Amino acid sequence: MRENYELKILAPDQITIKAHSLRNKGARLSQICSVRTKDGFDLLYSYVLDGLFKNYKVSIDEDTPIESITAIFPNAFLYENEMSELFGINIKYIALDYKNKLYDIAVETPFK
Amino acid sequence: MNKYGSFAGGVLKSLFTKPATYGYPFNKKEYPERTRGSIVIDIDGCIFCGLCEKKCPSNAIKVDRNSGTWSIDRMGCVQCENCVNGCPKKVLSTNVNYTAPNTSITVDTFKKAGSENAESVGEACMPKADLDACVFCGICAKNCPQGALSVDRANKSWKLDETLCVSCGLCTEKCPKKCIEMGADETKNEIALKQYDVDDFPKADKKSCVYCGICALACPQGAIELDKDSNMWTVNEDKCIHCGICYYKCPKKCIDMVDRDTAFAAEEENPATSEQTNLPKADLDKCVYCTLCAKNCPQGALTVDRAEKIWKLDADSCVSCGLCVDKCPKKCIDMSASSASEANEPEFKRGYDIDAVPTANLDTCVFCGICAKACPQDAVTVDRENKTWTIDEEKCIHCAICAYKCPKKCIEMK
Amino acid sequence: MSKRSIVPFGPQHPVLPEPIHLDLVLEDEKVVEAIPSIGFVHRGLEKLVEKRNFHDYMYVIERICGICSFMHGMGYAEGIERIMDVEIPDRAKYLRTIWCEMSRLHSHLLWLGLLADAFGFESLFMHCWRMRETILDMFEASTGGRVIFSVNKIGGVLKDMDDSMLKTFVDMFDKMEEEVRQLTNVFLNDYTVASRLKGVGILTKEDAILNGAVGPMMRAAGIESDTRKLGYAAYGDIDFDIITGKDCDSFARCEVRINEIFQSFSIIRQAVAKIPAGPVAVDVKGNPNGEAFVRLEQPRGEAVFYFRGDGTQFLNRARVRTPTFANIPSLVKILEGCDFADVPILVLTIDPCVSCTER
Repeated sequence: MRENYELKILAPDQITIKAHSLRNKGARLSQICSVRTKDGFDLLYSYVLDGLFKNYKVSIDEDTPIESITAIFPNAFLYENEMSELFGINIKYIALDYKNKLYDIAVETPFK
Repeated sequence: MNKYGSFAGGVLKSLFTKPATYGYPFNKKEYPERTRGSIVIDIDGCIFCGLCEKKCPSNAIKVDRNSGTWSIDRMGCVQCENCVNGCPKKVLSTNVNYTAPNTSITVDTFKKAGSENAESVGEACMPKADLDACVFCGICAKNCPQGALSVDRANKSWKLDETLCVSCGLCTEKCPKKCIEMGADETKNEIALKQYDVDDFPKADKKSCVYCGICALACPQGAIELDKDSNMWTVNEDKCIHCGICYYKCPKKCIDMVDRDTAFAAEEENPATSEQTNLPKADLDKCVYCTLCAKNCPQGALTVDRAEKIWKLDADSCVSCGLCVDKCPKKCIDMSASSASEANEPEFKRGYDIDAVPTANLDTCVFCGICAKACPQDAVTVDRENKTWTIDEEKCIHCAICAYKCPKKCIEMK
Repeated sequence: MSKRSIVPFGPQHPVLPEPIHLDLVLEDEKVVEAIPSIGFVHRGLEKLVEKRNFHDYMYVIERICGICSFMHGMGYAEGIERIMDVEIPDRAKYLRTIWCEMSRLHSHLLWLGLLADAFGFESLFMHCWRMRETILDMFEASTGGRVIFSVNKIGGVLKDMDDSMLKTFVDMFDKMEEEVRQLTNVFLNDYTVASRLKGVGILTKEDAILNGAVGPMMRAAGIESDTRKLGYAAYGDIDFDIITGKDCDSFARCEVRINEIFQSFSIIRQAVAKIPAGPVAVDVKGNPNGEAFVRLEQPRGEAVFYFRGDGTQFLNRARVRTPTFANIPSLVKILEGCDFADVPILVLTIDPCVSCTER
């Protein structure tokens, strides 16, 4: 049996509003990941609310700045640090910012 | 349950039972039959198709078709059995014993007996379908591990892509009508024979011969001798069996089958040799690094690395035979390089003045910024939001990399 | 006002089971703050997906970790099967379930051993690992490898377990259950164990949701959530309850994992009784084109897989979010305010698996 999960498209400025509303309903942040597309990146935010898996896809260009959601979900810092180090996505105001030293790899932004 | 001595029972029991360990190395463990210890090959059945080499996730297997060897890096093998599952002839199997530890890397090589040059040609026979019995069911195409067959039921066509075929013979086994046979070389020999007499000898036209040596390698009797430096190409009259393989295999089609007198007539003084000095050059945008050109090069002058995306030509070994051009499935090689450096570097159309400055056509420009990133001097500025494109003429060194890298080809050097 | 000092802990330390680095800010034997550092085992396996055929990538993804190896391969297979819309035979689903539960058994026994070692009870550690050897021998007899099984493929499984082998396994499990019960009684009742674990590392229900804890960390805080209830593989046909704990401390997490061991025995028995006959794999032709999410319950918690393909034989993206990656923020939270001597216990109580975290 395959899980029926939701996958909706969001605009970059709606990320924080959605995170706020999900936090008020008692959801937890499951994961954030990113994919390299031809012109930029696709960010995927996943939350779990009452056992339901909700995913949101945000398509951005290479230079679009994104606001961090660590103020709402403190555990997002690891995912956002990984994304900015491996993909070079510009994320501002991460609560615990490793400044590209999370994995400390020899190559800069290998996934870009 | 006793709070303070809950483990006492266990301790007492362990005092009187025998140890749970084996006592290695005095008592060796008996492995169950499914244990994946190391890979074993039955080399006599191997056809050197190279599928195991492609499937190995750690690149531990190396297959050399020309010399008939199969080698495995024992320390690199992770015993995943992907090669065993993928071998079409089922000559690979798993042994339960692990490789013994060693202070240096262990590579085991197996060579098939009698597998010098003649064998490799004999093994490389292609399948041929009897089109009267074929029902175009497509089972052969579905089972081909290389995807070399295309069968069209509606148009009743059966086509083989010879560049992809590795002569594994799976199509022959899977055909429900048993209408496929391996060994189309014989059929081709028949065609060749039909065009000349059974007593004819081969003679190379020295004007077009490039001394690649493919005819000498292909000759099952070793009857052909040639030397590039002394312009020599001869056939041994006693050894030649008039099979015509050299005539068929010559990439320049410069061998003709003629009667005995013409073949061994005295040669003219200083025959003109071919002026083929052009080297092959690959269009690296189209190249998929399939390594077919490197595999077919008789001189081994090409190095193609799929993982690192490298295509390199050794200009000293190249004899300009043009086989790589024929064998490339993407038709992305042509003989247009005049030197090694041009062959190995991307083509750069220098059709502009040494002082020319790039200008972008603002109608077709999409402001992607690739030119700005590529500019080694940071002379190009692209603003996506305001849709502006500027060049700093003082910083520009007229290298034209921006024009080359532009995906829309909208930059001109003026 | 006492002075603060910073003590670096890890990645090399006799009591630390995994290569994670923590900078502990201490004030007189109490930890005030902890800053984690990972990246010692980063191999870049997610980048390798661009260079390996998607069939061959299975062998790479199951080598992300040695303990959860089977479930990584299973998550990958389920993801690609979802993208390509392949339906695998029922017998393959049951076989995958049996191997999953055996993986969970051996992972929890390993964890119990490490926990005993962390508070110095070495003979208990050795007994737990002796029990685990029986399970590893069973893996070798059925799949060919003790740690990395290489038995998953896209479209099913590669090897079959016939009825006589399944019956032998169930008999061995019956015998093992008695011995494991004696061992776990020590964990649950002994005075020394209780004094090290009770009241240590409390993570309340609100903190667990806020910090994104998964697995036994979440269930010991009272949240009823188990990803196996989604019904992937054969879990839809098997009866089992969600095991939760009431006190949110390390002892409750230990209890949850011990109860999960006995639940695994019962799930394996049900699966062996219900397994249908039939083939174990289907052939898969073509290339994946599309994207899919898969959620699995690994021994350490919920793992999320994401795959995207564009029609060629190389995938565009393969992303694995392992449970330890989600539990590290909870580790940072429970370390605040604990004693310095409790730090190894707390690092172990989240069941870390750092090669999974860093891939």
